[in-house]
Amino acid sequence: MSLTSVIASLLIAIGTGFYLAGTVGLLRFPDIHSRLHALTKADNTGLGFLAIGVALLSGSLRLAVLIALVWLLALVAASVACHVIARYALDKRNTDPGPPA
Amino acid sequence: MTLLDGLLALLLLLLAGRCVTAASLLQAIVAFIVLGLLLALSWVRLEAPDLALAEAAIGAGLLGVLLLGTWRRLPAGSGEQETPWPWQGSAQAIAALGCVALAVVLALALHETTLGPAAAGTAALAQLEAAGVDQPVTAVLLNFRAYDTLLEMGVLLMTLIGTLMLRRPLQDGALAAPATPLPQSLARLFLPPILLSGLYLVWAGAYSPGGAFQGGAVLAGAGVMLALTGLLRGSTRDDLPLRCLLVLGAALFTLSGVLLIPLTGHFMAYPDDLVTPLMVLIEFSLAISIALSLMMLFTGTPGLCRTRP
Amino acid sequence: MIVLVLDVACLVLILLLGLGLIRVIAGPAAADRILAIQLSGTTTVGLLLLLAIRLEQPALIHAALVFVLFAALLALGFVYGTEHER
Repeated sequence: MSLTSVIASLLIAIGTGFYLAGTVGLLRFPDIHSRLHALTKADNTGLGFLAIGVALLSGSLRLAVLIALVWLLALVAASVACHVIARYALDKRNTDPGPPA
Repeated sequence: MTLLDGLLALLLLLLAGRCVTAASLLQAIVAFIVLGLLLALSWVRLEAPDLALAEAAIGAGLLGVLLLGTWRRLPAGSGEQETPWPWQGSAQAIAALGCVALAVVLALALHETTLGPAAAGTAALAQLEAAGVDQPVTAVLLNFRAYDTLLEMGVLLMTLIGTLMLRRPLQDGALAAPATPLPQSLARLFLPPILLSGLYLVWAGAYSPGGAFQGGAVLAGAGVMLALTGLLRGSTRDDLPLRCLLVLGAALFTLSGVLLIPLTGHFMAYPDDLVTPLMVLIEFSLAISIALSLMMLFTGTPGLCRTRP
Repeated sequence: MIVLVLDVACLVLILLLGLGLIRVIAGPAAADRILAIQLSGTTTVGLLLLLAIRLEQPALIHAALVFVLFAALLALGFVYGTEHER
């Protein structure tokens, strides 16, 4: 097993760990705004580690650039998506009488 | 990998069941979108990257946005707690029986099938040289089975015409810009990469997974993003150039099929030295028509115009 | 060895996708369900990248790109758009 694949395996393992953290956060955090927090940060960090690992394994510059593009666009998309969802949830909380607690 | 496939199948069944039994429309729509994601993964595992791409762009992406748009237009609370209609119990029993019977027939058919290279697939691969493109799927769609693809374009056009006829007339003013500047910046930032990947997918259809339907759906996604963020809006004014573009794909496909009859003697047969440029031309014109049709299905208006600040 | 790592990572991700379905089904709010879609989307993109290497199908990276582009669109489509006139 070459050094590259050892490093790639390590990165993929770390990435999967972050995914695990994100999913646990989505399931366990008490309200929508904390869940958003778990999701955007942990998941996209996980995707980042995974992407670097996969790019190392791909062994071609063209694919590596494409993978980097996937990650960068995912970062932008996730931040904006979560921003608009957070605003939506906030609006709903201010207008709704709220759940019967 | 077997474990992965098993889990995938299990989740697919769970979500499909959820789609039809969900308590509210939104729950069903969300289940359907996630089902689309898993279906794309299943196509990957079945070694059909073309379908995975199509499912990603059309099934999970564009169809999801269309369904969410429809959900927003419904009055609040519709689709939840419906009063049962007469004979509902019997109808459900009949449907259940039908499903069981279908499952049994499919299981029997699967049991009888001997796996081997399909005759049509082998024949298509053998003729690939004459098709003008290197990708077997594109060759089948645009050349060997061109008639079928042409009719699919017709179906898409009919759907759009039907939608435009049935829709309630919309006031000329459409979506207001979102209260935060982020979505518009996102749309402006994403527009070049989406257009580029859409056009790339159409072009790539000639030699690798991709093609007019996948690329067209991605291009339509760019348009829907502009419409959602208020940069582009639907207009009730009829727009002749736009209509020409809507029929461009089907028209060019038919014309090239008819005009070349004197050269080849058959409808939709292409002469050897013209086949590659023709394929690329048809592919791009189909993609443009598909993108515009899907986009106007979303806005539901006969025209489109830019929003002036 | 590397194949084993990729296989295990894929398996973990699909398990997480399944776990995320709890939020799809349980909600409780509409926004929670849309969040669950975002999570499934990111997980699917990760899976596609892994499978692209594992199955030696570089075209899957394009599929991942398409998913990224549409994930944001789904969130926008949920929050913005024509509303029913009340």
